[in-house]
Amino acid sequence: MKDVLILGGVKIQTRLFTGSGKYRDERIIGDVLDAAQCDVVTVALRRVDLEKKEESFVSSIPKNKQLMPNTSGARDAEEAVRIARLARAMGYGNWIKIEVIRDSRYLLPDNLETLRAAERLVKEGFEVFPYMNPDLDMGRRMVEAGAAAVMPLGAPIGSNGGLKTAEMIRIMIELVDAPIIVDAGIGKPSHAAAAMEMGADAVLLNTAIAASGDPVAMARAFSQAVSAGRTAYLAGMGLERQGAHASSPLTGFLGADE
Amino acid sequence: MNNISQIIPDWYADFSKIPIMDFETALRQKNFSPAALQSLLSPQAGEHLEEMARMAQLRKQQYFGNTVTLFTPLYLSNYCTNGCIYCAFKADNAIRRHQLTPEQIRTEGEEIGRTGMRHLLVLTGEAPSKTPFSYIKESLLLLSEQFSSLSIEMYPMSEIQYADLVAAVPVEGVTVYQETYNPRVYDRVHPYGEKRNYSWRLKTADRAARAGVRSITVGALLGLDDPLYELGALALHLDYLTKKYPQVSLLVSFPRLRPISGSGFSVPHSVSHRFFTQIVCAFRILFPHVGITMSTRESERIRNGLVPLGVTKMSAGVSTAVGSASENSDEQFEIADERSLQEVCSWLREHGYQPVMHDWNKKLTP
Repeated sequence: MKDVLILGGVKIQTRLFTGSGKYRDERIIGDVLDAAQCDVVTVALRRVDLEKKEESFVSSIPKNKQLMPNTSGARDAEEAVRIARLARAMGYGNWIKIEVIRDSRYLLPDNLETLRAAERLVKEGFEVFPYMNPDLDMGRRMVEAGAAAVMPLGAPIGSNGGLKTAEMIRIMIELVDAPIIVDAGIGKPSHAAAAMEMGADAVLLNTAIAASGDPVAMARAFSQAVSAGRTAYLAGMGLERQGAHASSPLTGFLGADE
Repeated sequence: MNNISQIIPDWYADFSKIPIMDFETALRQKNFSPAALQSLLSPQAGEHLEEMARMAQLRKQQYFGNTVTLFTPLYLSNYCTNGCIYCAFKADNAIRRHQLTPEQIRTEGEEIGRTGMRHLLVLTGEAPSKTPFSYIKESLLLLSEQFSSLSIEMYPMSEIQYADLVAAVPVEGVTVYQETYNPRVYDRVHPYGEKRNYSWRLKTADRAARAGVRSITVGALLGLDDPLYELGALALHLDYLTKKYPQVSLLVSFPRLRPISGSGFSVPHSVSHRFFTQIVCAFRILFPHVGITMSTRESERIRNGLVPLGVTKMSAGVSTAVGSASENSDEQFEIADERSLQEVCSWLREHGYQPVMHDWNKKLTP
C-alpha cells in the first residue's frame, strides 16, 4: 500500500515541509526544494512587497509546489485573518499556516487567538494549519473548528532545540483526530527522524536548513531522516528495552497447560 | 513588576551589590541578568573577545538567520529647541536650519523610493513649536503612500498622539534614545529645552507600546557616562520592555558619540572599536531576540565587521542633512559609511547575507 498523506484534498508525497526565510540568498530555495523533494513550502507574506509581487522571492519557488503562506507578524486573530485574505488575493492559494505570536522573546504562539483565527478562516474557505503550543484540548478544538491539520511546536522557533515537548506531541498524535505536523525547534535530522518515529504525519523546519553552511546538502539529509523515521514508524518499532533480557523465561516454572 | 521609573534609580543605587559571575558562566547564559552583562562587559571578558564573537555569531544566525534588514532615514527638519551639549543640531549652534515643505517631502520620498527601499525612518530635530504634531502627521501621511513601513525618530509624544499616528498613517516603529540613563549626567548635558524632562523621555517606550506601536528601538549614547552603568541601565530597560510588552518587537542601538568640530565638547567616556565590538557581542548573547540597529555614524569597516556578530538592521543611502540639496542645511553628524543602498546590498550578498528591504506592510494591519 502506498503511504500517502492527504491534506486539504492534496496528495503529499514528501513529509518534509520547509520554509523560505533566513536564507543568505533566496535564489537557492529552488535547489533546496529539489534536493529534499519537498511538496509544501511556507512563505511569510510580510516579506512580500505587495506592490512588486513579481520581484518577490515567492517567484523563485517552482510552480508545482504547494504554497503554504503564513501569518508571521500577526499579533492577534484579526491581523492573521487580514494577512490570510491578502495572501489569497495575491494568488498564493487557499492554504494558510496561522501564526499568531504575542511574545517577542521566544516567539511562542498564542493558542487562543490562533483558535479564533482558525474558526474565522475555515468559514471563509481556507485550508487552515494552526501553529500551536502542544495542548491536547486546544488541538481538538482546532480540529472541531475545521483545521486541515495541527502544527504543534517541538521547541521555540529557531532554537534548534529538538523535541522538548515530545510527550505532549505524542499525546496529540494518539488522540487528536487530524494529521499532526511537528513544526519548529527541529535542529538536526535525528530530531526529524524522532518526530516521524513517534507517528507525526509530517515535519516542518526552516532554520536548520536555511542557516546551515550547505542548505542543499542539509535539505537532503533531512529528507532522508524524515523518510527513515516514517518507514520505521510504519514497520512498527520494538519497545526500548531497559537492561538485559533473561535468557531463560521468568515464567518457566508454569507448566504448558497452566 | 516594578515601574521603569523605579528600576533605573534602583540600578544606580545598587550597582555595587551586583553579584560576580565568571566569564564562562556568563557566556553560556540563555537570558539576561545584570551580573551576566557586567561579566561580559568586563576587561577579563575582553580578553576572550574572539570566544564571545563566536557565541554572538551563533545566536545571531539562530535568531535572525543570514539576513540584515535595511532602512533609509529621511530628515524632515533640523530645527531644535534643546541645548544638548553633544549634538550639532542644538539650538544655539549657528547651523543652517531647514524644514521640508510638503512638496519637498514628496520629492525626497520618491527619490528614496526609486532606490527600491520600502522601509523609511522619518526624523526631525526636537522642536515641537517648529514641527508640531499636525505637520508631522501630514508629512507621514504623504510618505505613507510610497512606503510599506514607516518609523519615526522625533521628540517624545503622548500616548494619544502615538495612537493617532498608528491609526492614521500607520506608524509601525518608534525610536527614542534616552541618551543617558544616568539622571545626574542627563541633567548636566541637557541644560535647557523640553528635553530636560528625563522622566517623560524615559516613559516614551511605555506610551508607544500602549498606543499599539509594533516595533520600538531604545538606546543610549556611548560616551556620556561610564559605559558599565549606561549599558546596565539600557539592558534593564530592554528587559523591562520584553516582559511588560511581549507583543512589541524590540531593537537596541548604541550610537558612539564623536567630538563636534568647533564646539569645545569632548567625549568624556569614549569607547574604543574593540570595546564597542564587545558591547555588540554581549547584547547579542544576552538579548538574542532583540534587534541591533547601527547607523552610518559607524564606518564601513566597523559596520561590515559587526554584521556577523549581531547587527540585524542598518541604515543605507543616508544624508543626515535636511533636503537632498544640502546647501540648505548642515548635517547632524558626519556620515562615516558613505556607501549607497546598492553598494551596501552588494556587500551583504557577497558576504552571505540577504538584504531585507521588506519586512512588514502597513496593509497587513487592520
